[in-house]
Amino acid sequence: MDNLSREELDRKIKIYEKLGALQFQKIVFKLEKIKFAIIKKYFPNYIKFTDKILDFKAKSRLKKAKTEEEQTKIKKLIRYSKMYNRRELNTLKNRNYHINNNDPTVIYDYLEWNKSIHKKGLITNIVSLPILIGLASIAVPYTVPFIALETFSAIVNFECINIQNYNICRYKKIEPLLEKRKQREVKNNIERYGKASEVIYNSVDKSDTKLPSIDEIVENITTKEQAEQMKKLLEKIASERKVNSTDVTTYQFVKKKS
Amino acid sequence: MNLLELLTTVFILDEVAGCKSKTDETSTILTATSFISAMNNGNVDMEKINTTVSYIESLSDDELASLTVKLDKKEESLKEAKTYRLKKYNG
Repeated sequence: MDNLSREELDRKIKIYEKLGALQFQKIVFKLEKIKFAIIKKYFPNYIKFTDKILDFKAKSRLKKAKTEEEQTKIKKLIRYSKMYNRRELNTLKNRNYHINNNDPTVIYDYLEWNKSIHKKGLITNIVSLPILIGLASIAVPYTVPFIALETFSAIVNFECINIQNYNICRYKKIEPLLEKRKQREVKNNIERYGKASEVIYNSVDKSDTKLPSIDEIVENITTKEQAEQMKKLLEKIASERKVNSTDVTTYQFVKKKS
Repeated sequence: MNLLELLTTVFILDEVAGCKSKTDETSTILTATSFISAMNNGNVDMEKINTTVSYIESLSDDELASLTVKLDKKEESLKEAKTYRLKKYNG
C-alpha cells in the first residue's frame, strides 16, 4: 500500500468498512477494556509472567544469534518489549491498535506485524478446516466442535486482517502529517527533557535484558537540571494518566435548527 | 462491488501490487531490526527521548510516586553538595 493514491486509499477504506472493520474494531476495543480490567484485578503478577516469557525467548534467540550486533539487537528488542508491555498496562491501550502520541509513526510496523500474525492464523484455519470436514464426513468422533472452533477462529482472523488493512490505509492517508507531528513532538521533548533523557537512555542502554530500577536511575543523576527535567516529565506523564483514567465527556457542536 | 472483489482486495491485491507485508518472511533478527529502526529512524536524539518517555510511561503509579520522592531527595542532595574551586598554590 506504499504507493497508492489518496483516491485509491479511500476506495479501499470503503471496502474494508463494508467488510465490517468499524463494527469489529469496536468489539476489539471493548474486549481490550475487559482484558485489561481482568489482568489488573485477577493477575497481579502478569508483568512478572510476561517478563519470564520474554527472558525465555531472549535466551533461545541469543543462542541462535551469530554476531554480537545481532545479540545487541535482540537484547534491545527484549528491553523495549518489556517496557511496552508495562506501558500497555498503564495506559490500557494495546500497541497494535493505538497510536503512541510521542512516537506516532511506530504504529505502522505494529499494524503490519499484527496483520502478518493473523494472516498466518487464517492460513492455518484454511488448511485445517477441509481436513476436519473430511474427518467429519467419515464419521470420526468429536470433530464437529473443532470445526466450529476453527470456523470462529477463521472469522476472527479475517476480521482482524480487515481491521489492520483499514488502519494501514488510514495511516497511509495521514502519514506525512504524523511524521511532522512526530518531529515536532521529539523537538519539544528534547528541549524540555534532553538532559534527563541522557540519564535514562544510558541506564536502559547499559542494562542487559532487564530494565533498570528507579534506584539505578536516581543513582545515575549527576546534575540538578537532570533531576528537574525528570520531575517535569513525571508530572506530565502522571497528569496524562489522570486524564485517561477519568471518563471525560466529549461535546460536539451541532448546527442549531432554526 | 461483488464478494470476489471484496475478498481479493483484502488478501490478494495487497500482495500482487508489491505491497507484501514487511514482516512476513523476516527472521526474528530482522523483525528486531525493523522495530528498532522504526523507533529511532536513524536519529540518536530521537531514540534517546523516545526511550526516556517510554521508560517513564512503563512505570506504575506507585513507582512514579516513589521516583518523585527520590528525585526530590536527590535534588536536595545536589543542592547541598559543596562546590570546590581550584586555587593556584603559591607555596
